[in-house]
Amino acid sequence: MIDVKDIRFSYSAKQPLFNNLSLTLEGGHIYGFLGKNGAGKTTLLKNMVGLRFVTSGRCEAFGVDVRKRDPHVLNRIYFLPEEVWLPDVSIESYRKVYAGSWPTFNNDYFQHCLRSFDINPTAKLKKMSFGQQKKAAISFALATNVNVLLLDEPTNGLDIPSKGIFRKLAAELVDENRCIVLSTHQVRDLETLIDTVVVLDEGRIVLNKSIEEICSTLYFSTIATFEEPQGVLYKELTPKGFSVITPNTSKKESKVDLETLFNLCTQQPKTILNLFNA
Amino acid sequence: MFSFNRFYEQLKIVLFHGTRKHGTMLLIFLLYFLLSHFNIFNHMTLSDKDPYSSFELITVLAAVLSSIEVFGRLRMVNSGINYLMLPATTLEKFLAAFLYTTIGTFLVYTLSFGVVHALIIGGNNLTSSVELAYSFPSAVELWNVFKTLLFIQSLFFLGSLVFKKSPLAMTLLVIISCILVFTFVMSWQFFHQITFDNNLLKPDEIGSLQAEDAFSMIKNALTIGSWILPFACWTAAYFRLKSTQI
Repeated sequence: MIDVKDIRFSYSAKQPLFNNLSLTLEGGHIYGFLGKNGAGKTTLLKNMVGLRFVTSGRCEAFGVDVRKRDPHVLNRIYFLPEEVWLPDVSIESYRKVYAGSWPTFNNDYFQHCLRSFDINPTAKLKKMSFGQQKKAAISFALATNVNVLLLDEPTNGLDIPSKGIFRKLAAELVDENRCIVLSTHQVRDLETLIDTVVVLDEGRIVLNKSIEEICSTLYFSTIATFEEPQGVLYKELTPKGFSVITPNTSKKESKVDLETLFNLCTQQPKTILNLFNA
Repeated sequence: MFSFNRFYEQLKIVLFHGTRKHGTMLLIFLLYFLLSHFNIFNHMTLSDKDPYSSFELITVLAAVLSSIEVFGRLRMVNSGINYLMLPATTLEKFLAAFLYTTIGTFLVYTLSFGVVHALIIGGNNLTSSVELAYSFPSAVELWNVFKTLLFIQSLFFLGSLVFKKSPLAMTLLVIISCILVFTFVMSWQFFHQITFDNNLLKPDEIGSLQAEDAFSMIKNALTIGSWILPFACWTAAYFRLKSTQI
């Protein structure tokens, strides 16, 4: 669906943000883009949809260069930024004016999403809180029924029940013809939703693997006392004890701890690159 | 490939935002136009002055204000993302904004002013013994207003895409600077030509013809410029919109 080939991008001539970065997004997945602040998560999303043009390399969506801003491509992609922009009108008026631009927009699903988030469709958008506006915007984004949905920090500003509702709605939307990209630094919120983890660090992709692949390569455990067992890749003291990552040599199953994995990726990127590219 | 359906959707969005922003402005101008029919300090009797004297200025002003705001969403990141991600070609988005700020503004102002004027004169003719002529602007007058509107609109239309901060003030600054430079160059050329010609000619041959030639040259340059400049501005605005990044 989206193909990023050897892209270079920089905001200043001196320091490139991305250098020969490549990535492919396919249908049927929920990608989690993880990275520190300033790692370039949002910029990469913008590059992928043609909001920012790459210096070299190619970004293609459905085989078309995204710089062309082809409407046949744009009506299959929806990008929701972290801070949403909504005019001073009711949700219903907004839908009436904007929904027509996406031929696949599903009003029934939009109403379903609004109901799930407990949002009144007649409410004025500007009179809503930031979280409510975000819920309305997420509902609209989900209802566009596009093939590629890019959501930048979607859970920022959402209350705890709404985060759960968002996970449920997003999960029920994904099929073989659709993919969702979630850019976040709040990994705990989306841990159960993401099926492919993409970690960005210092202008490169350190990790781009599915949860299954990560599980078969790494073993995640929490131990009360740390006695330096053999082959520990990463350890971190948490309130529950030590979160430990070791190579999964015995092929045991474990639940991926995204936060610990992210710390391993950013602190020991070479270890991760060697492990997964071996 | 141009799609009328997508263009219609874009026009709908532009109208939606424009109506909300400029509806109040239209009402204020209409009120002014309505009051300009009357002698306010003389028992609100109908004035002898031509109420349409300010029509050109008001219509052009409305076009300037709508042009400067039509791409206002591109000045902020989140609203800009929303605009650029709308599924339509740059041409469709450009045409929607262009039509709204030119023909749209002109038609709305011409029709609403016409209706107000007709109601006032018609009302007077019904209630008073003195029958007044409607005196609507002629087609030629309207065409001249539209030409002026196109010329001025093109400058602010481009300005709204070029200047992210204070586009109205910045565009005005650029226009004033250009006028000053143009005036200086033309004055220099004008005096240079007259002085140069006078040196070659005998005193009795110096007539008003040289001055007329120089004026005619400036007039021709201005006429050609008044047609070329809007097209240059619209083309520049189109490519600026096409290459906008957020």
